[in-house]
Amino acid sequence: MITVALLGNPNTGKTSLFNHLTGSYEYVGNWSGVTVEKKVGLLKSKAGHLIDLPGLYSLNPLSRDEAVASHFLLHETFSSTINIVDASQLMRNLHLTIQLLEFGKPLFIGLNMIDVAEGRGMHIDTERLAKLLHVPVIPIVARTGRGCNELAQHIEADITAPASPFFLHYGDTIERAIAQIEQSIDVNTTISKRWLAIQFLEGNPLVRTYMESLIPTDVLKQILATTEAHIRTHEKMASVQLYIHHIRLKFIMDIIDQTVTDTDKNKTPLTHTIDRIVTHKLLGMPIFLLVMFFIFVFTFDWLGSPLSDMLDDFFSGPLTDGLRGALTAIGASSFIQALILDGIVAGVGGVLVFVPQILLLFFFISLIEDSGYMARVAMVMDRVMEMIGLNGKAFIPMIIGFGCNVPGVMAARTIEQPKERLLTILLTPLMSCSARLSVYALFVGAFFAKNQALVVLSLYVIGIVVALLLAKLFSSTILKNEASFFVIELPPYRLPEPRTLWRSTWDKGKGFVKKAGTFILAGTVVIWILTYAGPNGLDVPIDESFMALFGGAIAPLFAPLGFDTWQAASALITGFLAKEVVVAAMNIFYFVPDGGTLQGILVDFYTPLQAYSFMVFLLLYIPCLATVAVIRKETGSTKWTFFSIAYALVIAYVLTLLIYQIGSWLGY
Amino acid sequence: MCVDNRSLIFVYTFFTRNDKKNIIMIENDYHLPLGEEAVMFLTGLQIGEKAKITDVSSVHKDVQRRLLDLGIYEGVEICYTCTLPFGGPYILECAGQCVGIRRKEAATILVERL
Repeated sequence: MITVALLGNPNTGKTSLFNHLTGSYEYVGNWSGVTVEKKVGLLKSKAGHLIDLPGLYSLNPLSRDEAVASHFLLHETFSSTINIVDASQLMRNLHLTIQLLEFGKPLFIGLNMIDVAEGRGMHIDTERLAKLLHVPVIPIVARTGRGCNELAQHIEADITAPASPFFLHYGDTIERAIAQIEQSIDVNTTISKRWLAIQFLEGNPLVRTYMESLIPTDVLKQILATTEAHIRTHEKMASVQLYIHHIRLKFIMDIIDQTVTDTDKNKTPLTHTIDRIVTHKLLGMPIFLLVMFFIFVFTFDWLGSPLSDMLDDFFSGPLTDGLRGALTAIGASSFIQALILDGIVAGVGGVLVFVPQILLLFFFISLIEDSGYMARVAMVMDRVMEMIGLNGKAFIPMIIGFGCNVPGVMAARTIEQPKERLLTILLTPLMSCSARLSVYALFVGAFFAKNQALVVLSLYVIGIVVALLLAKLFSSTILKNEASFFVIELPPYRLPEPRTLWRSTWDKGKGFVKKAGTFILAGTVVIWILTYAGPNGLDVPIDESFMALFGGAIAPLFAPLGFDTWQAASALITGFLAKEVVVAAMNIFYFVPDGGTLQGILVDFYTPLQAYSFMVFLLLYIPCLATVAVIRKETGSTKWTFFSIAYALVIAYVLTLLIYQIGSWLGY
Repeated sequence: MCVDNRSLIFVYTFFTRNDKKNIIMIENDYHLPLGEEAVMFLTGLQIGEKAKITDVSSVHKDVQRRLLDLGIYEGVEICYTCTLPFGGPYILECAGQCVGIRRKEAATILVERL
């Protein structure tokens, strides 16, 4: 069984290639930072595993994402590497290639995007390139899969001739330093000593730490200092890192000279034309807001809700009747019947009903990612983010957070600065996720039937505004920042491939459905039992159940907020498990008679203002259990995890209080 | 007024390094004739103009490194594409690739108009 590592610059189609080679789907996005974890897939031919590492420009890491790849190379075993290279950006991409060649393990180059290169008038002699680099170079178009089979065959046949180990001469000064280092390592290492030496001189912190276990720190420091001094005086370069970069660049340009022929330099790509509109001085932000509005209107008013209603009718009608018949036929006890029909079907079904809206939202997020528009969004939003102490890249985890807070928090890994990353992680849960969406859908359907999209949009906007304000607050007080910086690559626009898009959507949506099958199912059963049982025994009227008692005990806390019923209080408690459970809980607490709907019933218990303040509280009050777990993992700190819970509760209470009190005073 | 060019640069850089003051300071397109060529800050370019990078050393070191990775460093030719309003980011094009950086950083990059 072979293990192959896949490495390449961001935005080179790495994950598309991964999908074609493994036949199993992984999360794809056209914006660097989406692949945040190493992903392992089984090769189609079952010959072994392929590991997809985060995109990086150089093995010398600048962000945590990039450090993953370096760590992998240093500490894990694998048989060979595939380096995916963007043919239209050779000068940039080959830097990583050189470093990988120096590493010494068998390497295969997948030369991707040759169609883009041709479109720009560039023709590349792949055979010549292969000869110059001493490794196989296979032209591919990862988006369509062209050439991928050939690449796969190469990896599996492992037909690299024992390569003349790649050797780039870095000039006498550096070579002397390398020799010194190599000699100082008196043990046998599995990793190429030359590679270690070069990476160390380049300033790779992971390699430095690794080296310190092999060579005394003083020796290392001394070698580096002498080399640096020499480079400054004799080569007139500011640092060893820059000098090494310069040498590599000369080599790369020589290669390009020999392999690339430029035929037509003056085509204006379509991308630039689109960008002129989308990142236009005045139109940029309004266009983005318009796009978001359109997404919401489509998801709720036009398509999502009608589909949702159809599902609802199915669950409460034919499905329930059918199950009831089946259960009676097998003679199930009334307890079991009640558990299944009133508990599980009502509860879990109540959540599944919102799958159409969720999938639509995920579809649009995937569309924005795959097409490359996400990067422009980060650019357009950067000015606003800069004012609150973050940068445009922090906007992306938040956008993802609209789908689900969990991957949103994880996406913050691409933010290079630790304080900014922490801030983004703390604020992403304020983004109204798809789970909360199912609760909103329930309430707006009941109370704001004529203005569904608008009301839901208002909630999303509240989440964003609160996040922005808190960001400003936190970054000027608790998290006093070093200045944030922002450099972003704008990949060319692509028309997303429908199959990739569908898989992208389904993969995100799958999480939602899976949650339904596990957390929510378990939670629903527990909740249902707590409503079924009470101090006086089983099958008690709901007002006398454990749930009612417990909810009733804390309900008074919510009186100033407008919803001091035990049902609301209990539902909020269950919401910690997963926000969708609130819907399931409501379905159970308000027992719905035949022919009625939960929405119909809710109208009798709450006013629109109360419903709205409930939704605002739900938006802000606490991240769900899964999110809290991920926050703990990403920050590595229990203190900040508790902080994220505490500040959320405070903000939720205060804001909801304001909204309800002012609203009632205004006469709503 | 007869002022030495180098002291002008020093004074200018001194002001632009202080983050709070930089927005006002960089509003004007500032020409610093050095010898025969016209060297200026990136922010002085007009939209669509091409220029060669002459000095990125005043930029924040992490930004420098990232720009290096993306192929923007001394000696490279870039084209200034556009900028977003209210002091928003600058979009530069280099070798067919578009990169966005903040105005703050662009204001410390010296270029030579082509």
